[in-house]
Amino acid sequence: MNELRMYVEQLFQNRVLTSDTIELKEEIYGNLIARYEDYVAQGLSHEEALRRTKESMTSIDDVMSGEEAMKNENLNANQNPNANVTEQMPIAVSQPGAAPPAGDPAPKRRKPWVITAAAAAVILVLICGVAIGMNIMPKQTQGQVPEATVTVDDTTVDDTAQDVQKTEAEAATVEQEPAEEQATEPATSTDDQTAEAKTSTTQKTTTSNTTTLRSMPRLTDDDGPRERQATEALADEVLNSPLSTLTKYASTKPSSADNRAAFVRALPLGDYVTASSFSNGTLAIDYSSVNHNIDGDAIDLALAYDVVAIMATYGDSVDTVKIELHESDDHSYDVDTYIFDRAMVEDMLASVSSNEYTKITGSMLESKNAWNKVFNNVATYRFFDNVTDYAELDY
Amino acid sequence: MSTRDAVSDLIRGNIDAIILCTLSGGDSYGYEILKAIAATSRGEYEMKEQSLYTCLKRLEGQGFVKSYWGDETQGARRKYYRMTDAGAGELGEATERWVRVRNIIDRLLTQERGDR
Repeated sequence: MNELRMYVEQLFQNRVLTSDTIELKEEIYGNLIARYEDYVAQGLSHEEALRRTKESMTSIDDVMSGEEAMKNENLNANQNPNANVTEQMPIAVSQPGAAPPAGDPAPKRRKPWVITAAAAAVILVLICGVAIGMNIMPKQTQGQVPEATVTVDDTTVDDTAQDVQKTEAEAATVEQEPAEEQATEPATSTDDQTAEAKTSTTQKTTTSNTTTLRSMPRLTDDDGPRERQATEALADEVLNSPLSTLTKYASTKPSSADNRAAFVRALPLGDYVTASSFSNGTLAIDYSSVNHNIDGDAIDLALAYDVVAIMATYGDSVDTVKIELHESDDHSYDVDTYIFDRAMVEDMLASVSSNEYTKITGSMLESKNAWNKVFNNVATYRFFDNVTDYAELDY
Repeated sequence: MSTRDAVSDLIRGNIDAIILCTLSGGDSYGYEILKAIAATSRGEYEMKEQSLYTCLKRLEGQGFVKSYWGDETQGARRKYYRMTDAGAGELGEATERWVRVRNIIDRLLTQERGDR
């Protein structure tokens, strides 16, 4: 349901993405989808269902600022029944499975496995990617003003500017972004063309959901459009990286040069692979001219994903993954080196998964569900940030 | 103040208990909670989605509910809420409070009880 996804992204525009807002965004999206499906189940047209769904949530200012929303409850008693018909909760009609009333014991007691905010965001995007793949929704540009902003709730509209300011002020104190590496380096644009040419190969599938990947951890609106685009493209690559890539090579050996090269090229960041080798349990990969516009977090996520994927696919034959990564704006001798030791990676994964995963094995690839659960852990900021931090060699 | 606002205010004073009561029937997620409240009030009261998030956040902060992500394998993921034991205790107390207040107000406004 790409259009609703876009709509939720618009609601959160200009918000700094903390784990709280990412989680809230996920929650709101889930509820809007439920509402939309409910409307459709009652026979509303897609357009009407979408319109009413959007009107049910025209602003998040109240939610972010807390108590204000409490003033705006909707009471239908003694009202012209048509006055707020667009917001009315569908209640009378039976909805097959869409949203049973809470008295119904059927869907209760879910297994309470906890998902982190980053993984939540990542899953959202996955869902979105599926919708795009099926071409369900028309394109919608990020700057488009949602039609529903005109409706209903004037207090929220009045408060917008104030709240945005407040949020930004809060963000200034809360977000302690490490200074971007790029900031200290000359922003030469000589390599941009080649870098972007590479990026564009991965963007073919993603052009219509440029907003979705703003939910990448720590990627804020302060980043330029070029950085955002490059980052989104890579994050998308990670999110859409299919399990089949891994299962395809699970029966091959890392020592088989052709298979190994094809495998690492099929993984996220694979377009930048210039060499790979394997000896004594160490699989080494060189990435060159990686688009320097890509946010460091997205690269960390991609590396973490690749390393876990490689260790799961090749099993115990790979003890260590050594990565050398060169960015497009760096001198050729300026290379970041990462040593991902299997035990270290497994420790970190055990830690974020509360010991659900203490070993990285081929059993992770047994089913989509199994791999998705691993992925949920890998895609946590805590994991991909820590594991890459730990692996990176400081000279 | 319009009738609508006045009635809305009265309900709002009890909205946390109303949400807890909804959850006492089983774990639920945002939209389902809103629907249940609308249905139980027979369409006379609709809670805004914005308000719901604020309330749930508050209830979670007080330890009366706990949230967790559902494991939907397809479609959007949903955040579910479960009432805690502390929440059940609070619901009991809030219900008693309401009955007591209702009786008092009924008396003060010289209404017969229980005819609605």
